[in-house]
Amino acid sequence: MVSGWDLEFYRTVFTNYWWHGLFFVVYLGGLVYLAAGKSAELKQVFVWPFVIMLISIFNPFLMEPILQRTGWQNRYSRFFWMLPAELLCAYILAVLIERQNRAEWRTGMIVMAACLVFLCGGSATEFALDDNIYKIDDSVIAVAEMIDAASEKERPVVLYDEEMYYWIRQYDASFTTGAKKSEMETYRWMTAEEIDASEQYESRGQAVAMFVRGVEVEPALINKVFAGREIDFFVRNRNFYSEEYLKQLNLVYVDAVEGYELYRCVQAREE
Amino acid sequence: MMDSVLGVVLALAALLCYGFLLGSSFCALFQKRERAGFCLLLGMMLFLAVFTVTELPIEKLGLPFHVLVYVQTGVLLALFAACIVFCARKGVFREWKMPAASDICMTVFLLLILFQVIYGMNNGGRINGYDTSYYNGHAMNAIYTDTMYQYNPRTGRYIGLETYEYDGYPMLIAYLAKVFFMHPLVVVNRVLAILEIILANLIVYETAMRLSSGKRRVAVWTAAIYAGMSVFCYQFEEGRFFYLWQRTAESKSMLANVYLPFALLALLMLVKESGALYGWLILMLAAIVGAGLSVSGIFVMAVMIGSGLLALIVCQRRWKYLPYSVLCMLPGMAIGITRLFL
Repeated sequence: MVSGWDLEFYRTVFTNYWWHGLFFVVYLGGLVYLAAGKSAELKQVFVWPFVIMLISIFNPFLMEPILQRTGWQNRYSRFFWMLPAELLCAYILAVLIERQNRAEWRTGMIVMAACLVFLCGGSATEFALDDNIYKIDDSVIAVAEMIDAASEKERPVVLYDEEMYYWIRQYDASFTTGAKKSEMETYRWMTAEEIDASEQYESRGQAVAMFVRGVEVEPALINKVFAGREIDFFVRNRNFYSEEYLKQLNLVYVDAVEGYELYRCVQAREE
Repeated sequence: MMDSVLGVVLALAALLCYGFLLGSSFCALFQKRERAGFCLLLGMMLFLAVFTVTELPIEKLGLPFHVLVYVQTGVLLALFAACIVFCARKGVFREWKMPAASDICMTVFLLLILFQVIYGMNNGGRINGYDTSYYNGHAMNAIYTDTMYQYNPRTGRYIGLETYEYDGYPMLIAYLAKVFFMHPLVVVNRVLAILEIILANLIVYETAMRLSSGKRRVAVWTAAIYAGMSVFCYQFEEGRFFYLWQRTAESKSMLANVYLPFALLALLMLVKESGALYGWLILMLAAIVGAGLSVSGIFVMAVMIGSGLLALIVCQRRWKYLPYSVLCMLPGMAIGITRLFL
């Protein structure tokens, strides 16, 4: 059964996609221009599919029950990719520029096109050379190479913070993460300060989830995790954990790179 | 050695040459004279479609990754040999000619692509977070463990078989990495990223050419304005340009900037070609690639092509197109259903 209508959702998706809507207005203007024109081909390719989409996929009254059943709300905005808004805007502007016979009118049209681009958008991203050919942070490569150099195992089990977790296996798949996926993602959107420290006693997984976000979980608990999960290495993000805290963990310092330190887990080796 | 600028150039040159040969052969098969850019575009879509169709059964049978590498390479090499023989017999090679240096439109368009490639490779775009760790993680696992989707992409733990919906894109990354002796990150962030930028521009150019009945200046202006929009409107986080510049060469980015615009171009060609087999096959290619290499594409591509075909059938009152439409959509839908439910 459909549990109520959430029309606000559609407004949010629309505004998130089109922002201030200027592009969409220009696109609609282009569609009206084509609809009023003589070209049947353009109407068939741009106008009528838009009308069909408007009464089907972009119709909240039709889509609400479908989305509620499929749970695809977070993917709904991707249907806007079907609309060739930017292409149509660019084409109509190009036609308008090319139609002008007089140089001053043509220049005026080019200026208008440039203004539209700036008004609809804003600024480009910075122009910055990448660190390396892989297009990832140098620190990820440095940490991976540091672990490789220190490890005698083919597939060492490594525990790292949540940020490194998303990166390091994109570069080197020989590591196995010492925490489960669910643990790494439990406090994904929270900082260490926002996490309630008392939750560490709920379960061992909870303690790990907090630890990888930088919470100084009770050392005995984490030492048990190192031993129980046979973790070989721990990569410390230098923004996390005090020196005093680290001294209470069963770790031996191995090496460091910018932003990170590598420790070998002693107890795991002994067991 | 291949994880370098030279390696990227070599891999791109190999892919583009292969695509151009494939596209030229396809056009020659239907006795169509197309521009070099369109042959290249069509050839790359053919390459992706062949990959999709070959990869799916191997993946679903749970075979090791090296089987995919051998079979895929065999199929692509056989296709390459067939294209060479076909082109030689039909005299296609004699028709190839370099564009004239005095061709201003071509020079401006090529410069436009070059600037975008340089921008795309140096714009600081690096949102390799949650989603990319999934795609690239699976590609890395395939190479490292010689399996397909059997290890968790983020933790590296054995999971048996991935239960989350996934597409064939990670295996495309892994396959290209294997055959070009490259790191998957170089393949995705450089080779496929540059390829996406080139294909996105070619699609805009070709669509504008067909809309304006071959006015090259209109096509170049359209490509230039589109490029300006894409660079300066990248920050709309749900928009296609954000994916083009900040999440370049992710499967979603390819869907938004290559597969869907290509489907529009295919629909336009179908309208222009008055329903010739050539047009239907190109539309079918778009459906196959969209459904096979992007999970979102299974639905989005189906709705887009469905809406376009419905408009075409109703406007032209050509009800005989209905069975063609079903046949055109069938392979893509079959791939989508297999991916989601089997």
